[in-house]
Amino acid sequence: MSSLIVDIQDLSLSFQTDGSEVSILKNVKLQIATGEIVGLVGESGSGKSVTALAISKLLPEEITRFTGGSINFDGTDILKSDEASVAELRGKRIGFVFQEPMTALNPTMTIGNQLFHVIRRHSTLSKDEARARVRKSLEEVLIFKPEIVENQYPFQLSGGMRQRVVIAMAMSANPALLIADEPTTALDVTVQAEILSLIERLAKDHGTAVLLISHDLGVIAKTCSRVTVLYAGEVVESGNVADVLKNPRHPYTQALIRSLPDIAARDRSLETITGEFPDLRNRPDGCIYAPRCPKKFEKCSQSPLLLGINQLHAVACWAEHSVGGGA
Amino acid sequence: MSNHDALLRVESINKTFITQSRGIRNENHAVKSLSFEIMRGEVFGLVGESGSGKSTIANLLMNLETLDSGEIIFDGNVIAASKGTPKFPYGDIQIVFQDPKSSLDPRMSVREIIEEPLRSVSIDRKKEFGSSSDVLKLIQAVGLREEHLDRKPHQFSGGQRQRIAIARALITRPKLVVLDEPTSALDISVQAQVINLLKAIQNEFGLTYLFISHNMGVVKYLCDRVGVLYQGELVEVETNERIFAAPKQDYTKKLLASVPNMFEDMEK
Repeated sequence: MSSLIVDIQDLSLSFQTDGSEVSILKNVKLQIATGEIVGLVGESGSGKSVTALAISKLLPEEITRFTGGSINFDGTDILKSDEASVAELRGKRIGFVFQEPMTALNPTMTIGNQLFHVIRRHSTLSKDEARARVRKSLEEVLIFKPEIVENQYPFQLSGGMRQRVVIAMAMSANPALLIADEPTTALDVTVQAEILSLIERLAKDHGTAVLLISHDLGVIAKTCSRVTVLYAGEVVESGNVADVLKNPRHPYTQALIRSLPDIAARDRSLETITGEFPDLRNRPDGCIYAPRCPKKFEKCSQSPLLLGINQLHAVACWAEHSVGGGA
Repeated sequence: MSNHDALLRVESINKTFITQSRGIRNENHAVKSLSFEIMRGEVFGLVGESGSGKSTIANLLMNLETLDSGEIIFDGNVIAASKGTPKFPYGDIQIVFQDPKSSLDPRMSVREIIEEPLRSVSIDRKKEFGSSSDVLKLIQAVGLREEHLDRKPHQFSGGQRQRIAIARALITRPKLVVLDEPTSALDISVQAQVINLLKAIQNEFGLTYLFISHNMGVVKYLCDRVGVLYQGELVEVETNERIFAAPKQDYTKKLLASVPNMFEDMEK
């Protein structure tokens, strides 16, 4: 069995704003092994990006309060490490690809120079060696004329090409973990397909663990082996992609999938989730989804644990774990 | 289908944008001899990737751009042509944009936002439709409440803002509503609510939709006919059933195959 690169246990954190404290994550569990692509899915405000940023402590220090749990990255206890040692991991052991490739690149620098600086920063290569690596990095992300692209500025490239450059940069130090936060959301579908297969291939070739954040269940289904579903900062369900998406057990996951128009009958209304997103300034006790849940019963006033239904599939729902429960 | 039922006829329209960069003239033929019709009561989908001309077509229909050649005929009248001065039927065609954050003026109240399109329609029409009871009726029709009318856009979620944008489009009692990626900025569960709303008000207000999107799932659910755009050309126009079951053109096939479909990918 491959080793764990990321091991997040019961992570809770909050943001302090204007005197009030907003609970952002509660008891989040997430594990990623080498070479594995794990999807993190949820709607806006579910805590997807915060979870990813927490792994490298990229959250604004002034307002972030870690209230419980631990993050272990490849043997390092992140929450107990000082800023300098976590900074050493960023870019080198943990690569990042964000949604908008234009803002991730420096508009005043050629592609070649940007990559050159990243490579020099994270390696002991000489200038000439680093120049050669720039060329190789671009080739690896299937940029066909690297000698031309090297001398171009970001604005001269298409969105897909820019995202390839960002991926080349993120992968240039051969990181153990690649965090891809909505990497294809700003791209066209045909380009999206290319970028996703590129990420898949790189992860396989380099044995890189990938955390793929997406709101698109199709992207998750196509790319990931496991998936974790977040709702309001809590993991409601996690497991093998096939299990979770084909046989969702949490009422939220079920509702999310049923609200997709893809297979809905045209003469019927789409299913929607009733009620409103909880106010996280006062995180309600008990099951976070209960106020919107059609299956709610007395027990839901207590917080459900994320328990396995089988070895590959866990769900945080009392209806699934009570005696005789299960839908 | 006979031309009699067509609410909108677009006849071989062309649009080229000319830009100059460092003295180099650059021509971008954004829309190339494009023709299509939209029938009364129909939901016509336009799909294509960025740069395919989707938004240029929307802008031409809304009189926000001028045609180089060809003409657009709406409800029997020429509303856009390269020659002459066709009269644009303000209020009869309305639009809902993709991003409700940037399409609603942050300094206006919801009431002012919804009433604003009436400024550009004729006085007769204003008398007919612009009463405050109408604003109230509309805000309720889109699933919001009377007390929301005095609030500002920033006090609403993305889904609620898109409801406001829809109410604003409906105030002039349009015949055709252009929906330019109306759910792309929304979460899945909110998208479902907005789609249901669009369906409901189509029946209630007797609307015809031009639905521009890159989301094939939404197009498949909502549209009666679909046109596929590629680099400014309409490569295929077909009924919903046929385009998804048996696309003819290579580009349509590629486009449909690129969409990661959760349900199909799961069946592997």
